[in-house]
Amino acid sequence: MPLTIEKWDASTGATTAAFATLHTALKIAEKDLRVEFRRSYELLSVLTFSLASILVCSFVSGASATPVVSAAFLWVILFFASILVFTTSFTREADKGTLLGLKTIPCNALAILLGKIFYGAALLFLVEIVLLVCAVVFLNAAFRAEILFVFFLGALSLASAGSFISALVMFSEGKTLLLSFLLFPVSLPVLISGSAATAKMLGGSTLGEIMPAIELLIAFLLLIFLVMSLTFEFVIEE
Amino acid sequence: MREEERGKEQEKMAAAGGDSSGRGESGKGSERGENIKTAVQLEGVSKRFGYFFALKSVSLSVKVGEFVALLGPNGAGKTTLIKIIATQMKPTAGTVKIFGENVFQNSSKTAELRREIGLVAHESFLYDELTVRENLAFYAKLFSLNKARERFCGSYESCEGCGSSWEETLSELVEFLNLGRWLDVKAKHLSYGLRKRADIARALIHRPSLVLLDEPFGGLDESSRELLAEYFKCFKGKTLILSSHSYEWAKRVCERGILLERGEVKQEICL
Repeated sequence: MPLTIEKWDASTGATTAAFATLHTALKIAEKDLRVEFRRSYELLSVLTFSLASILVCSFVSGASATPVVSAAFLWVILFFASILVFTTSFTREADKGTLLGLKTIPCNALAILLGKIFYGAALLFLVEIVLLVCAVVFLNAAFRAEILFVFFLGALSLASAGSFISALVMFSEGKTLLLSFLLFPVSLPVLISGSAATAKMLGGSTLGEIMPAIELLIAFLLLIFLVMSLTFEFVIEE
Repeated sequence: MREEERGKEQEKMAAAGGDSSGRGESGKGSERGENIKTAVQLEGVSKRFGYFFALKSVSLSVKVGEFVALLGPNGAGKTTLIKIIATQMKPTAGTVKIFGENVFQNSSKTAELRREIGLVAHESFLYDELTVRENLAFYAKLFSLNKARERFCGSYESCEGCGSSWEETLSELVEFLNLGRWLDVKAKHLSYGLRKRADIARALIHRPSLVLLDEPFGGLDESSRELLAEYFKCFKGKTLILSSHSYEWAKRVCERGILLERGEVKQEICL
């Protein structure tokens, strides 16, 4: 008889549930990134939007933008770029029917969401790098390596909020509108702490001095992960 | 000539990838499986969408190794039933048992049960931008097939101790479904029939024991239907549940039919 479930569990002691979830999530993220780079027009539109926005900001402020203004520009652009990224994140899978394919895999539903978060975070981090380079060139911002850590946490937090909301609205009619409306209030803690930390970093503060903002970002991540793990199984159901 | 080729394909499929009946009977996993004779058992399964009942207290049983067709007109509840058996959709009421395990009771057990299920749905699960090979590799890796050597070798007589991997299953399936020429072609460039075949390969890549086919003949021309029907006949040893509104095509593959109408089982027929 076919079933070998108990045997499989016993013979793969190393493959704990958490490891299996992470493994699945990484595979999904890898696939999404591959698909994204092959269909590069969406990624290019996000990058073009970011580049055009920062250029307009540089026209307004010239090369004398203060760290506070530069940080505000960066995070406003990043927020809109994240809307562009997460509009298609789950919707594409739901529309093409491949979401059902992902639901056939032997793993809990959270793995699918984590995969989307990793993919979204990777894309947003790429946008952040481009934005940072542009900010250094056009806004005369002072580059500091530590700022990459803030950007990484910010990308991960925005990706968590964005992917979760993208999943929440994927079966609704006005998904694009709903995503834009819901993402802002949910990601407010990320925008507040991320922009404050970036402003201080650009102003010359050390990593230790911006710890409260980093702690807020980490707290947000933990909280949203808790909410996701408790509710996502129901969210993904049709 | 063609008949001979098909005969060879059938033999090959039965000996290697297609035949999973030997999994438990001859493999290490037999201790548990010998007593289980029912692949799918549904008792009083209902599914409601708002005020609409897609399924009304459906009870049915499918034996291991049986080929069963779910018949009925559009809207009879065939797809909903397939989705519930595939663990994709929770029923509003009733119990679903797959190989004796109560589905939806424990989410980790349900997830593990998916290793035994291969689903070919209406819509293709292939990603347009990936090639057929990349698509199959993606799903194979999600089933952790490269790490499942012990499971395979314990389950299949033909690969006892050989360290069978998903690449081997892939080459068997590619040969069986005649997909060799199309392996490195992006899924979006495939014709509907080829895409269906690639989707079947995707559903079989993890060697499931229970194969669920939702309207597999829909949208295909006569010759492609013929070809698919021949392929399905080669799934000897697997349990196959096929949904179709065509009695004729269901009859060519299945031995028993369950007629659904407005979400209820109307009749069971010998095909």
